[in-house]
Amino acid sequence: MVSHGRERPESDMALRVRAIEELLTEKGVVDPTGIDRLVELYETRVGPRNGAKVVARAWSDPGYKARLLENGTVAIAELGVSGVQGENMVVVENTGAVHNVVVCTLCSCYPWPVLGLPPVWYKSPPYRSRVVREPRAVLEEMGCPVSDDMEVRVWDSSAEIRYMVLPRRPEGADGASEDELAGMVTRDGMIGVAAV
Amino acid sequence: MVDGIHDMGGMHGFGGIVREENEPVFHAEWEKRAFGVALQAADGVGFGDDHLRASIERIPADVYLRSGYYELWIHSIQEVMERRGVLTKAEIETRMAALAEPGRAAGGGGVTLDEVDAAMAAGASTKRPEAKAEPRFAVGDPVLVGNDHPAHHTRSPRYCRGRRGKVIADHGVFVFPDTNSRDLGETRSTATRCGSRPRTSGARRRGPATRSASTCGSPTWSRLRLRSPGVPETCIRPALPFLSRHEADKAPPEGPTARFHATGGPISWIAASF
Repeated sequence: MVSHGRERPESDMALRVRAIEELLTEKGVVDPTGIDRLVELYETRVGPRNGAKVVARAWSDPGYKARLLENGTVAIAELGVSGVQGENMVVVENTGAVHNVVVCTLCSCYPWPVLGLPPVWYKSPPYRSRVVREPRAVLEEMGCPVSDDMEVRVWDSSAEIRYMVLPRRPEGADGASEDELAGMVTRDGMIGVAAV
Repeated sequence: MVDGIHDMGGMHGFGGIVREENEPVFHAEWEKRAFGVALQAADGVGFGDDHLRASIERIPADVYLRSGYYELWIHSIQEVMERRGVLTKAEIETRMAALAEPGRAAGGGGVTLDEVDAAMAAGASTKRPEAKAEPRFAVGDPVLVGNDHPAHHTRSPRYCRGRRGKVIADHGVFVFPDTNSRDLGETRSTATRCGSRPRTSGARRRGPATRSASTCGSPTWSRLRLRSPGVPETCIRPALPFLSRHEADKAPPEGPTARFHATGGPISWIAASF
């Protein structure tokens, strides 16, 4: 769903957004300073580093991991992470037998507090249409092949519950600190389209 | 617009997945403003994702497919604002024309940054823990996804309809988007004006729920076996049920490793007793 800019050039959309923002500001519905802050929050503070922190803690602390899988919302909040579009979190664990992958076929639901705002490909028709029909082919294409003896579970978010994947801890990371572990975790790993 | 282009799970023809390396959070300045305006307007006017999604689903398919993500947001924000009487199309067009002239700047406001941070960290859950509703299904129950095609917003994707599955989790009671998105209330019980009526819980029934229910909330699931006669039935609304190939009695078409659970949001998403 990339804008080609022919039917609706950006200048027109930019103008429309400005007009709506101004009018809503005058009516007291929105506040430009608040909008600045929202943008800053999601550009700099709310993103996949939060999720990586959660994953690293789960890899390091079996008690935390158990709490995380039992009640994702509460365990994630233990690390000071919570909020809009992540009010009810479910964390699903990748194991040697099961690989999990997350999608929102109807829209763009995504766990904002732990992963930030979704990338364009996650919201795009190819991913949304295909991952529920041919998850193995999609995972292979995205560089995350899953062996045939493993089960693939596709979680379609559909808004109320937001899913995050707990990737498998990489082998050979035995001595790593929690910070080092967090550095190994990628956004795509927590969506389920990368191994870690 | 349930059978709209947005419901694309399982469709063919969209090509390969294109990933952008080092993708920025926003791709244009106006996207940033659109994002912030949408969040604040929802709060300021009092509407939610259900309304925005229902509005996005009414965008014509050709426009939907050639629009960027935040263009869809702006489309729907504008539509909801017009319907709520907050903005008019003429007002927006006039302001756009004025803004095309140089030298205009937006005004300021009164919100504090701490207030913004606190609101975002608190979230706005649509879970309703205080709502009492006896679950209609238990974990492990076999279920069938109703093959319903309501003209309004619903969370039952096309690729699941008519499929059998099994309940794997109970996430509790949530706002019911099918009614909420149409301003008919958060639950089916508050939407009784559109025709739902008490149901005899002991009735034998297999297949999609009754017509009276579907005019109101269009229950996606129906029990294959009624569990406990005498307990009032509750509409349980899964966002995304299982696919039939998860059923043990059907050979998975691609061998045992190809089966997948398409488990969705609230597996037992209880809207209300009725």
